[in-house]
Amino acid sequence: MDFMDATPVIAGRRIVESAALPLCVFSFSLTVLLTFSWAVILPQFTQFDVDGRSLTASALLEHRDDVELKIDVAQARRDELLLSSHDESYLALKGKRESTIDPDVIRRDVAAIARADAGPEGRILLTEIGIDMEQGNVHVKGEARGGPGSMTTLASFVERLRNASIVASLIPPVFERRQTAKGDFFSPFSFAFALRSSEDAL
Amino acid sequence: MRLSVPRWLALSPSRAVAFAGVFLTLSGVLLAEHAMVIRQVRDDGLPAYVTIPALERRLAVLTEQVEVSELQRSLAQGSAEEMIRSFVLPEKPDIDRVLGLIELMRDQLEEAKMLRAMSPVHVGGDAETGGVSSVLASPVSFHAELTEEGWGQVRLLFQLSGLVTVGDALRSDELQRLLDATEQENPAGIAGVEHFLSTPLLRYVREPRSFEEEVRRSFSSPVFEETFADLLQHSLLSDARRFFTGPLGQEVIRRKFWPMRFLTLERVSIEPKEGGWSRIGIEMQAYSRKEN
Repeated sequence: MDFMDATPVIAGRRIVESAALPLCVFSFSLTVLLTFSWAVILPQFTQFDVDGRSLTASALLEHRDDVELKIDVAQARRDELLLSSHDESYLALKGKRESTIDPDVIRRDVAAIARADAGPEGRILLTEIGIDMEQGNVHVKGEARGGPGSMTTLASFVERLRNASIVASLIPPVFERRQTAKGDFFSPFSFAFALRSSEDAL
Repeated sequence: MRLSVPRWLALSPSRAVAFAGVFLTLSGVLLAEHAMVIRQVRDDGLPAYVTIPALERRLAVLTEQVEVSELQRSLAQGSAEEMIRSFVLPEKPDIDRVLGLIELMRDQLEEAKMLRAMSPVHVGGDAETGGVSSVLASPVSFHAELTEEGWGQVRLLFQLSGLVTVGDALRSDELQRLLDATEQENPAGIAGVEHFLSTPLLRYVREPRSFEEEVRRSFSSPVFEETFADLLQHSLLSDARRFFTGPLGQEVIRRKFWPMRFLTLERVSIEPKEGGWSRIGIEMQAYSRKEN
């Protein structure tokens, strides 16, 4: 029977029968070659020479982590040796002081914001600034003066303060306008705000 | 003559196809392994390989510094530790020394016309403090009418209280900057830096130049010089030099209040007054060590 005369199923079977062995030989050769490449050739090009040792990428990462760990340990030891004392209480108190904000920085910032709100008529008069360094709270007392617009002057001061970098949160004051015996308008205020910690600022 | 194929080699077509399938699958797996290894080298290996020499150099520098520092430490005496135990954080509350310091501050500032009035000083009982469990804190409070300069002196007194060595006067970030500059310039220079940092603060403020020159001798680059000069100028060391050459600082030394007890400002109230004066309310804590 001629090949061309066969039915498509029989023709297909014959093709498979005649290609099966070459395909098997080819795939076997490919597997052998790839195994050889994986075992012998690939490591030649993908390993790193570190201190006379050949390391794979994953071993290299482990080596880097190990060196980094040793650096951390050596750095901690060196810093420890540089301290005047290893007294834990003393070091803790020094840490506490370092994390406390200078009260004068707060006073200067609040005063600068108050001055910035001084318009042609209005001005903020600070009568007391109370700073609780332990709790991180500031209490501000004073008067806004600015004719009939004293409440607006106060609102502007409060808003500027709320947006200042040292302020984490602010409880706004009660806005009221009073009049002196001479007829001048003023708005007394007393309010508190929480300081932003150095960690928050980062 | 007909070649006889060994029986085990005589594959039926269906077996040959099955074997081919197995080998092709294996080849696919091996190809995937090749791709994975190459990707790992590209993504992890090469970046790590580039950073390792720098890390190893840093490790060598730090190891050398630790060796030098350990040698230096073994030669040094524990005088700072002693001072802290005896004066800065004593086991007894010893509040008379704190009151003596406040009295001295009042007299000196009054004489310099930086203080015009002061309230009685209130001293509370020892109490445990929230932050540090191993110490006791005695609350002390008073009001004083001070000029701007006077308030600056009071703040400085608090900042300098409890410090013993030059290193104590530097914040951790300042210390880190100095150490980074040392590592980059001359790792072996750590010995000079360490000697500088362990110098008693009082000795340093009396003759700062000689101690500073000792550090400079180990380093020659302008980068280090710039960092060091910036540190000397903008850290508490500069304020300490100013304070101890002033009348209040001199009197603190003369009346043997140095090293001072560890004091912290807890609450401050500032009421501006006419003529540049302010009424300052101060609530502070004086610390002592809990007795074992």
